[in-house]
Amino acid sequence: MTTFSEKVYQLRKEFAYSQEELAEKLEVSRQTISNWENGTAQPALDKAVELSNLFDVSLDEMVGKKIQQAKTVSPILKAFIGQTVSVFLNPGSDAWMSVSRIEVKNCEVIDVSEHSLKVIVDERKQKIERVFMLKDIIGIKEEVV
Amino acid sequence: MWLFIIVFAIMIFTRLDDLIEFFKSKDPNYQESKAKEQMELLNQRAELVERLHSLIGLDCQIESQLFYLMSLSSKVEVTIQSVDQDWVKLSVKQRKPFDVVVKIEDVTSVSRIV
Repeated sequence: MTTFSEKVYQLRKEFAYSQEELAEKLEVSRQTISNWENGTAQPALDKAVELSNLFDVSLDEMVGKKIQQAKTVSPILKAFIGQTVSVFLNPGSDAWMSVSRIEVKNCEVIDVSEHSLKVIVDERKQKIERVFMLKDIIGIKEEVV
Repeated sequence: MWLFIIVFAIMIFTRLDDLIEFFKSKDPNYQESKAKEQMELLNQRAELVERLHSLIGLDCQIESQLFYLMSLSSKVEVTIQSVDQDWVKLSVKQRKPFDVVVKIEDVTSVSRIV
C-alpha cells in the first residue's frame, strides 16, 4: 500500500514539479514539501485538499485507502435462476449446521444476489424458501431433469 | 464459588484464540504481516482466476474439496466452461458427465491435460 509521503512524491514526479514549484503552488516552504515526502510531517487538512485538487486525485487515494470495487452478481450463478440444482455447503458453515447435510438436492433457484442464493426446496413434502449465503456454498450442481 | 471459576475458565479457554488475536492485533508488526498475508492471498486468487480464464474450453485436472464431498476423487478431469471473479463452471468427465459450478476459493490446483 502506498503511504501518503510516497504518494506525494509519486504525483509530484508525475506532474514534473520540483519541490520549489509545488511549494509555491501550495504557498508553503520547500522544506515543508520535503518533510511531507520524507514522512517526517503531514499536511493540515486544507493543504491535503489543495494537493488532491492540484493532482486531481481523491483524498482517499492520497492517503492510500483502497477503493473497494462494488461486488456484482455472478453471471454464472445468475444463469441458474429458474433451474433446479443441488447446493453443496461448506462443512462447518452456519448453513450446514442448520440443514445438517452437505448436499441439498432439488433446489429451485429463484434469485441470486451479491451475497446470497434464494431457493425453494422440497422438505418433508413441504416447499420451503431458503436463503443460502454464498460464503457457505462451495459448489452448485445442475440437476438433469 | 468454584463453579463460577470453572465456568469462567471454560469461557476464557473457548475464546482463547480470539483473546490472543486481540492482544496481537495491537502490535503494528503483526498488523503489517497480516496485511501482507492478505495481499498475498488476493494476488494468488487473481493469478488463479487468470489461469482459469486462459484454460476456458480446454481439458484440465482440477482439485477441489467439492469433488471429494461428491464422493469422487478429489482430482477430476474437467473442461472449463466459464469463469467469473468467484465461480468457475466446469463440465465434469465421468461415466455420466455433469456440469458443476465450483467456488474458485475452493479450487486447490489446476493442471492442463496436454
